[in-house]
Amino acid sequence: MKFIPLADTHVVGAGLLYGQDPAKRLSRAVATTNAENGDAHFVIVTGGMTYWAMQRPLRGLPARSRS
Amino acid sequence: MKFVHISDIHLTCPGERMAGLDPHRRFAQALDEVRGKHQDADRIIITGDLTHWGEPDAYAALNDALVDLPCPVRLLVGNHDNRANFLSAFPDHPRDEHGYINYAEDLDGTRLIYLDTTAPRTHAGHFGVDRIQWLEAQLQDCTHARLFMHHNVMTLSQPAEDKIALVSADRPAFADLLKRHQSKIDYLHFGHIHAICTGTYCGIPFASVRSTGNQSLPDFTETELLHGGPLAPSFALIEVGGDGTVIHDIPFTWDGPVFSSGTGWDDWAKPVAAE
Ligand SMILES: [Fe+2]
Repeated sequence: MKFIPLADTHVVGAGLLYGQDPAKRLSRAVATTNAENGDAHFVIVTGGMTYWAMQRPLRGLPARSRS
Repeated sequence: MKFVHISDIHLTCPGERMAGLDPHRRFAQALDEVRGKHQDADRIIITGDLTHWGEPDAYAALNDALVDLPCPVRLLVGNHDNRANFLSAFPDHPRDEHGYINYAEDLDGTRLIYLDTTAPRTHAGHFGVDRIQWLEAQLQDCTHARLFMHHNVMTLSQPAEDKIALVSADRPAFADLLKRHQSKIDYLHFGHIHAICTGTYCGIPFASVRSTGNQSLPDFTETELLHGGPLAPSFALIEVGGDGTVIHDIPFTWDGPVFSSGTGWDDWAKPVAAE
């Protein structure tokens, strides 16, 4: 079994957080996971998904479940 | 007990650089961090690749650097080291009856066991029957043990990196020994891979640390080449208490911005934009 834990992705709606775009960072993590560990059984996001608990950025989360 | 775990310092003859950086400066920065923030450490343990090419001058530089430290230092050799040159620079250093740099000490009821997993002219780890017998004897008459070594004794799903793990011929006996003494071995600590990797092996938790020089990039398909780059270094701070072990990653070269915040709920409130 292989799985990828992600945590504290701290996605914000628009703009930067401490000079970084967290959604872009998360997209890169997802791309790397798909490219190098596409055989993983699941990704588990252990909290800190958004920075200010907004609804909208959650819909923008690029991770999708794989069968 | 508190241990500073440093690894893969790869010292050169002073003045020579190693893969684009000055390893002496990096090592000095790490020791300064220990002097400044970890005066309560009980041991500084450096798990091998003390030098990059094993020259006497590199070991002399290591000897010179180990001054004004808050606690004893324990040195282990790695694949880049030269055992004879190491022993010339540290003539009183303990070794086992076969001449390997295997030694141990008891601290707070735990036997700290320092292993020599090297063999000449190979980057892979070796731990044959003579060394297994020494380790077996050390484990037999203690109640708690913690093992420090340079090489990973298990494979790590990285085909190229795994070529320089403990050689496959020596793995079964090592694993068998770990399983037989699993209940008294609290942890395996190693370096070599220039990356942080944690897990369990034979029912025993393990943790590696980064190098103070360059880091490796994990690769799960590459079969020939070891990939690495100038990622930030760190060392580990290992705190051992009655309830278990906590390992912190210490980024001792960080000199960039530092953000500070309180821990109260409102300290993280979303700023209200000015209309
Ligand atoms: Fe190394």
